[in-house]
Amino acid sequence: MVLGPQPGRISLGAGLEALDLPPGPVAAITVGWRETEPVLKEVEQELGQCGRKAAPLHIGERVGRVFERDVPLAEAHRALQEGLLAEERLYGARLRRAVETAHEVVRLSVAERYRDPYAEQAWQAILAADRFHVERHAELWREFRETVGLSERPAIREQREELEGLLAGAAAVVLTGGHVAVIRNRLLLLGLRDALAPLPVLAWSAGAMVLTPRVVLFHDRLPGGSAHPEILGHGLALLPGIGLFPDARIRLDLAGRQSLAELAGRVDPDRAVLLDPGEMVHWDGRSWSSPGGIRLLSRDGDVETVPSFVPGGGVGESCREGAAP
Amino acid sequence: MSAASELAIQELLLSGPTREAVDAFVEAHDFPIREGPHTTFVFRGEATSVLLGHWLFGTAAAREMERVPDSDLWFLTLDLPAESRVEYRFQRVRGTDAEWILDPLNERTVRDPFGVWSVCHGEGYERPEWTEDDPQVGGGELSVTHVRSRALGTRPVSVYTPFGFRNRRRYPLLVVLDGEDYLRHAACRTVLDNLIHRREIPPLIAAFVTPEKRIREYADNPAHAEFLTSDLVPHLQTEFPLRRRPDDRGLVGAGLGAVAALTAAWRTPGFFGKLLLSSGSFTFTDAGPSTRTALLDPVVDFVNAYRADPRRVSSRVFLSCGIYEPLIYENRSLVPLLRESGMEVRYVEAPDGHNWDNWRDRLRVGLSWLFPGPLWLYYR
Repeated sequence: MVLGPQPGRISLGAGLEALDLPPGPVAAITVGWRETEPVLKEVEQELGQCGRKAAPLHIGERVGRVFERDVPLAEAHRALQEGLLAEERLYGARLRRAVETAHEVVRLSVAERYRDPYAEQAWQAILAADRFHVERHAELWREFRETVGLSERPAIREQREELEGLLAGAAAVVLTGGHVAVIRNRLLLLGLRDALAPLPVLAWSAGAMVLTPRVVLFHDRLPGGSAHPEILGHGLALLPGIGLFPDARIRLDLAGRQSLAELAGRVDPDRAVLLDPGEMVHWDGRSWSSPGGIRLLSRDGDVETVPSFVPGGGVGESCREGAAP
Repeated sequence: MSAASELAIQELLLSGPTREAVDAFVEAHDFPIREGPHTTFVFRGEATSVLLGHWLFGTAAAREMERVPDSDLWFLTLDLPAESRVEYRFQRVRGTDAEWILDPLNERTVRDPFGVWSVCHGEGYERPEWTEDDPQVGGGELSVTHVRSRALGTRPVSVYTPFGFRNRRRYPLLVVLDGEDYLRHAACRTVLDNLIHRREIPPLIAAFVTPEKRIREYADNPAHAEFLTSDLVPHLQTEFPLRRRPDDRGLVGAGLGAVAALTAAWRTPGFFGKLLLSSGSFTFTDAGPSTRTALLDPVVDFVNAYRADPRRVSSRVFLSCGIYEPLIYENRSLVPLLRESGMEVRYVEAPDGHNWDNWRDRLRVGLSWLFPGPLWLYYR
């Protein structure tokens, strides 16, 4: 279950009810929030109102303990972060040029039959930059894991085994929003994908984004100027067939059809799902659905509302945003 | 939006105003009267003549106001661009006496190092909410450290540490020239609190440095540059957990302070990776001597030298200037030179003048461009 951003309209309780869970506590992953925000307390309160107990996993503190105990690992991880930062800067430089070229080609007033082949080439250059970055990003992680023997290090094993025990006894797991790179980084470091896979998930914003196949960073209204969407890297791919765009009304220029079309194309063949407070979408193992409708971006840059869709397959009857569903 | 003929002051004039009508007019309006793009300044009082003094560069610095016939009401209507901010005073002339006064009908004033001014907001201007105290936002702390300098003697420096400060973390550093003025007149502490809270900039440490002899220190003085790079920053690095890459180090200045920032960067290229220069007094001469005060000769010499040989001194420069200030020409001229040197430059013009509110209002876009916060990576 993917929920809309919780600040503004809490829907965690409604999500829990819709899942019809077996008895048991709900594991909570809240890493990536500012230390100043009492998010765990909010999650505990919300779960408590539904008669559920929270089992906080304290991922951030656990990683802190790992690094205290295993200093060489902490140093290798710091080096990995420097490598990832360098990779992001290089990707950003390449991507910026590719996007600017694509936009310039589209703007040129020449006949479509001359322009279109160049527009397609320019578009492929953007996708190539994305692909190469995701590969390089994964390669840096792979190098790190192999060099340090990550899964066999006692400090990691100890934490992972404890976490696997907590997750095995949980009825579901909640992943909150927050700093998407931090959440992803911690989950990858502790190797929690397999332990999370069998559990029903309630996640929103950053917590949900890291569970999709690819994590896309986006914001059309940054105060320092808009930036081109970037792929952070692969996600855990536990939520199939979607790219997530939470807080779409705040973060996206929904009147910018061209940029929305590009965004949809960047996650293709997955579908770009827009989520705002109060909304939720549900994965039943076969298809995505929502009683209120799922807002999807089409490859033309339209926002369509569909009751359900199957990844790689068809959608239910759709309507354009603004029209009556 | 009203047409000029439908302005409130025109209606008053057409009514053949009596004293009672003037009383009612003054009672009925907030002043200056904003009607679409038209702004009517009004003064009421006995006078031989009344002038509106303002900082609208390119127009007469003081413009004569018109008297409503047979009354003590004076007015002047100007068209101000949307979202503009204009600081002004009235000059009231009585016989041979003339005095500059604030607008008695306008409570909105601003204080800067040169005194107090009445402020007129054009259509659409609102003070940005991120410049105001927010009780929901955790506030950073200010402390004072004393920096010993061979060049300038011992200097007190106010240091801002962000809310949630942790000694084991490493922070970017922002050095703010005219620091006390930035704190007092540009709400810089509040702005930092708010922008950090919104994740638009990262938690950072800011050092607010105040000159003792401003013109001498800021007019391309090598001793001041040496103070910043050899005394201040090393001192702060021993006292606070600072990141040490040049890109994690920014220098901020306004007016002559912007000159001091650029000249310091010029003397130690690459030391400060980020520059925020507001309304810099980048005076230059294409031919012949400068008409500015001789005290600014070092500035003219520096800018002339920079124009002849533009160099990359930082990686990113945010430059801003008000369109109503005489320095707009100098700042516009500098932009292509900075870019030519290979620096990444963002240039912003504001419908405002040479004042602290202008510089305050540009801090958000400038700081978040120079030091982008985690907002990009943060999904609530």
